[in-house]
Amino acid sequence: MMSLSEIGFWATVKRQFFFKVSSYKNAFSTLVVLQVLAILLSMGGTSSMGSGSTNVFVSVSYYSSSAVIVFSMIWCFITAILITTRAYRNDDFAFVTNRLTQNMANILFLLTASVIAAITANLSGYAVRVAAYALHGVEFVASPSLFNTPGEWLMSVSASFLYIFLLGSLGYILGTLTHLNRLFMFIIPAVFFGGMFTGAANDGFITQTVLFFNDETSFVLFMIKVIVTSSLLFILASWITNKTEVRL
Amino acid sequence: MKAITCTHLTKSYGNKKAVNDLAVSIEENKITGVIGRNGAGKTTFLQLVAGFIKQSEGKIHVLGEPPFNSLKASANTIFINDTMNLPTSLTIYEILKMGNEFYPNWDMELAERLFDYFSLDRSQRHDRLSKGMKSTFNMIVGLASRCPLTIFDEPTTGMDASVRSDFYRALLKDYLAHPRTILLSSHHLNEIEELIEDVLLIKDGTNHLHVSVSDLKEYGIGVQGESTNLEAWLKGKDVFHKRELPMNKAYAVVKKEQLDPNYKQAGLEVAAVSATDMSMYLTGTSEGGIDDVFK
Repeated sequence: MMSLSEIGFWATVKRQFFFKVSSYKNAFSTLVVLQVLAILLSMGGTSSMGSGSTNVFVSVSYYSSSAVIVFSMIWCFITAILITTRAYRNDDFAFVTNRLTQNMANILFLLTASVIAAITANLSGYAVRVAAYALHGVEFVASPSLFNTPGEWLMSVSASFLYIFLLGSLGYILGTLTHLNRLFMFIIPAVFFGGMFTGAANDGFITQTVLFFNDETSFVLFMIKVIVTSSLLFILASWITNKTEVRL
Repeated sequence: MKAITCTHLTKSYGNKKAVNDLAVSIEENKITGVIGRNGAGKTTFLQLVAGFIKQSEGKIHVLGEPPFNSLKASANTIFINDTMNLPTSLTIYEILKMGNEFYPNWDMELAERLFDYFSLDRSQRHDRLSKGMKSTFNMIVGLASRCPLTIFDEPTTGMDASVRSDFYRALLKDYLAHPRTILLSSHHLNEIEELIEDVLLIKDGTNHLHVSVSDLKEYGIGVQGESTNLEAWLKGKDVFHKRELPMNKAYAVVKKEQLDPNYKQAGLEVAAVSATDMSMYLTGTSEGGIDDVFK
């Protein structure tokens, strides 16, 4: 007689998480490719201004990792959609899981992915500035970095992490909704573009949503906004998927 | 203790009831064959047992609890099927190592020995395996996991004859060393007749008959004789199967307990019906066969 094994919730989440890290490893190669692409695009400077008089001309160019961060956000968004697809969800059921441990492991995976993407994106700022020096002969490079302003650097990493993770949670809920009903494939873009063009100037709800995060000047408030929003989105996604079936 | 109990178990997809009011209780540590025609509801029933899908009506208990969303049921159950999903980003050897992480009773040594015996390539991906190789690999996962409830849904699809007999032998040996509840589904009983103790015949999504193999062998009896005599004799009896024979003769299968002694006077002969034939008659339609289509 074989005795039944009791298995803990968090022990299962942990195993599922490590399983996801190794089976979704291709996502990280995609991240590398996207970030390299973003670095190449940033080499001309992400924005610049200049002024001058007869003999003096001053030109200021910003070489920053912002394009890399935006690409990382898009990457996290798409990765989150990808892991909600049926093929990925069904894979988990070859091993030990239930729907709640599956969602927890997915959230942990997206958290880890966002941390990695935020750190690498911020480090890519050096690559962009080195390129500026080498390619454009830029002479004065003001460079907040890990070593001279560790506080600012950490805050920059944290802010990028929050943005990337927020997009991840958005992708996760949209993927889950689409999985629930194919109609959402049409409804979501319609609502998105409709929301962008309705309402005057800044009144459209899409613009309002973006401003809700983007116009926040206090880092702590911004952090709270992101954490609350993404938690709500993940809770909603878990609630929706708690009844989904494994179809073979 | 019962490994599986269900009452009024129903699963409907739209108007179609894939599993319809099924009641069964399956003993622990037995090998049970789940037999039924294509589309009879075998896979749906097994998926309900595995907790992959949720019943529309009725109750199901697996290893003491409802299997849907149960971690305990998931940790103690494995479902092997030719369309089962396994990550394509891992090599098949990595999948075995992953199984070792997840399943508490996993026997990695057995997995590796079987892996080498069937000469699988460690760096191969699951989606690139041929149909037979895929079934072979899935079977290794099913055996090595040593789950107290192991479900094989038509596990031999695509396997060649020698792998097939190796598989049944491996299953039997491992079962004897580590007894556990095994459900094995198949279209036909003859392949697994020697292996299983009980048979669950599924027809139209419901439990048609749940008996031991030895009882199934004794369940029906074949009667043969002149068509007219046979026809008269069959009145009021449950006929499982009937077919015309040459020279105005006919053959019918009836329940053994309905064999009254006057069959000799009617000039009829009787013969035993094998478990395989009996299961085919029970899960099929009672009258006519493919010959009637061409009449």
